[in-house]
Amino acid sequence: MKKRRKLDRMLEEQGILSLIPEDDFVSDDVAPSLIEEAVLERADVDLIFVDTTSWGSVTEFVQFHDKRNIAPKLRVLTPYEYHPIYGNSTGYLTDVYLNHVVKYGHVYAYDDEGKSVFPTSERIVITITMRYRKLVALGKI
Amino acid sequence: MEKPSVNMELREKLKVYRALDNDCRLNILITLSNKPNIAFNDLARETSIEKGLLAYHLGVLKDVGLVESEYKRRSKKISMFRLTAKGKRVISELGLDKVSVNKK
Repeated sequence: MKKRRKLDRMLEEQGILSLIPEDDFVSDDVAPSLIEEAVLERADVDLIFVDTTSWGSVTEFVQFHDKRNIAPKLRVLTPYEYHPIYGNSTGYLTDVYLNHVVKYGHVYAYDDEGKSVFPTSERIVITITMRYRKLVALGKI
Repeated sequence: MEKPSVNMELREKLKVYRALDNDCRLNILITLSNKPNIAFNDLARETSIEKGLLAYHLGVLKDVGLVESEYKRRSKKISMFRLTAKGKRVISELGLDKVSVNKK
């Protein structure tokens, strides 16, 4: 949560609005799953970053990875050891990540502990978000 | 010969049937029926399902609308899982709300 809130602040400083489900999708009246899907499907939500170190996020990735209006926006961040191409893990989840790489291409390996050449998750999110905004402004997306 | 057209409502029902046709997912649904609003780690312990596999199956069940998660603020256990109204209805129709799970 601290990492996400820090990123939220950093993006806000750049004029980019970000949403954190645990903070922004809480309601007494509507099931959170319904809120989340309704928001993520909106045309004005451009990118959805999912960090797979949290099991809750993993369930959401599996939930959304094949939904037509959401899957293309997903940007999956995974510790490099669990990346379907760069890592060595096997299993159901690795298989789902591999499918996503093949179909959409957006599964990124990160290293927040500086043990490898892979960038931090924070750097990936900022770099991609800033470049995406630039491309939208130039009319290339 | 014309291909039969399959409408969206039928497709959604077939997705639910496919989701139910799995022992792990049935185990999860029965556990959630008996213990609603349970955190992920507790659910892993109750079902004896490895966490990666549990996360995958919960995602499938959320995708077909049988399970939902709620975010708890300022708590270590952020995601709490429970059956949706649709999930409760399906469990009841299958008679699984009167079943307990035998752990391996």
